[in-house]
Amino acid sequence: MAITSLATLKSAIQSTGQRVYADKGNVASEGVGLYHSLWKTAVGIPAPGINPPVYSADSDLMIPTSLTLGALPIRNAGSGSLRLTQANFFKVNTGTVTIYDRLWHCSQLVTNILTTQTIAGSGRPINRGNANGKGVELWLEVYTAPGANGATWTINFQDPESGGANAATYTHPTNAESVGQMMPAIMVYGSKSCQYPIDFTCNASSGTAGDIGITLLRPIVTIPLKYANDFRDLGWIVNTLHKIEPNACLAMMVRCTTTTTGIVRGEIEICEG
Amino acid sequence: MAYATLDDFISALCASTAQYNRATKISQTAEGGGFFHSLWLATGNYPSAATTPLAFTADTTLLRPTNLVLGAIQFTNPAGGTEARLAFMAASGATVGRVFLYDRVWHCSGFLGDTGSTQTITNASSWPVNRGAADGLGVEAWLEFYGAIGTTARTITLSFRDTADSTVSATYSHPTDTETVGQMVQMTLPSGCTGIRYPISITLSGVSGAAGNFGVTLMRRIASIPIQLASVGDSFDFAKLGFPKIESNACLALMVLCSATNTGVIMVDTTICEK
Repeated sequence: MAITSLATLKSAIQSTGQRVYADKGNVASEGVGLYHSLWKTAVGIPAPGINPPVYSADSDLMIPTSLTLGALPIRNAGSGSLRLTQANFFKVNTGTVTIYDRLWHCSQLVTNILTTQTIAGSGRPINRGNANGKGVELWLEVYTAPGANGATWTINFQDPESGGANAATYTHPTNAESVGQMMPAIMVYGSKSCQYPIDFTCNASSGTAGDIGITLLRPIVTIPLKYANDFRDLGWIVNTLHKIEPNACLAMMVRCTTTTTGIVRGEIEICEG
Repeated sequence: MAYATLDDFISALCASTAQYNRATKISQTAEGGGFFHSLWLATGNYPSAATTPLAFTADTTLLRPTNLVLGAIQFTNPAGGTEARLAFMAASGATVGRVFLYDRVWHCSGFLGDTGSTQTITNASSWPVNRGAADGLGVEAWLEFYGAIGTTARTITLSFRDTADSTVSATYSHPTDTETVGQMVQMTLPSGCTGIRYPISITLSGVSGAAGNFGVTLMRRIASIPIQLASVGDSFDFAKLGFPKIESNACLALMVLCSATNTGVIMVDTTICEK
């Protein structure tokens, strides 16, 4: 049933509403202003995800879904889409919680070689939402810490909205990122989409191989938590009934204000329409 | 009426025309607390960094950037007979400040800080602002620095055509230090002035000591979000935003009111709906 009015919204919530709980334990993070994944956070609900497939795997598992271990457990709509009606979250320290649709992921890129590491992505483009990958963000995710030598990491990716392959870069600093840290790669020139990653190249060795992954995502909602230990409740108006695609792999990350993520607890409510 | 009832709003949110965007901009070196900084040329995602606007002598419609210009936040024009409105905006940043979303209706570069002569925009009357009120109601005048000028204090005067189609002027007092590249300064409009149709010329009261490179940016503000706590920010719904209209072809851009000498990495989420 399409949501076109307050009455149909109310009806959709009553008849198809789902509440999904999240409760993630505290883990060490890199520090203020930086992002940390809760995908593999060992303690909590949903159960921790596992490392994504190796970048050369050419595997269906590169496209996680709502059924993938680590995803917030949502039930697909009978027809049409799901809509976010509520997001209520709490954190033991201040910061920002982002719920996103994890569209594509891989791991095991290393940072101590200068040769290009070709990703088996072309056969596995993102398959939710805009098929060209409009609005898809390209992040790096740390599964094992790399070395502490500074470098520029370049990811080439398919950008159909801008006409073809394009590049994104991340400046690896002269210290090792924390395990679980997520870093947005910055698209170099005028990119409007990201359909799949093509390859990964380091311009200098970080000193230690590490294990770096690429995660493609679309953000769903960002919840600012100004006060520690205080729930922030966002209703359907502020969530703008954000669309959640069928099979969405909902996952969480936090933007940190200190070197721990703090316990994160909350719930979302979604309905069909 | 496009949005006559709450039902209209709800149906617009759930329509396929709802537009979600998240802009990411890396940190910029800024002038300091209390000063504005442009993110137009800042490296980032959705949008990527723009290029410096054309010189004031360019005499082209490209002085009026649109949603299709590199550096503009992605925005699809609403269909005929409908309106696009901002239903949601959130911002978080690594540094305390306030993030502004605005429609960049006119811009140029190339003004020099080492001349006291009037620098006249070529054929200015041919390129009035062409979005929103045609008389320029609500348009603000800003200077944007692409290269630092000198450190001699001068008054910078902008001559422009106002909403009454009269030629008047606005001023900015350039201090005895140099503005930071990327800094934006708002010009003081004359009493009673309610907007700008088009800019005409720039005149410095004397040489500043270095040529630099600055431009005029005309804008209409749309919304702003406070970042009162680093890494946290805030989110506003349609009521808190005032449900502002986004004009067709709007060149949506960002600037920051800073609290420090950097802007911090900033992420801005928006939802635009259409009815």
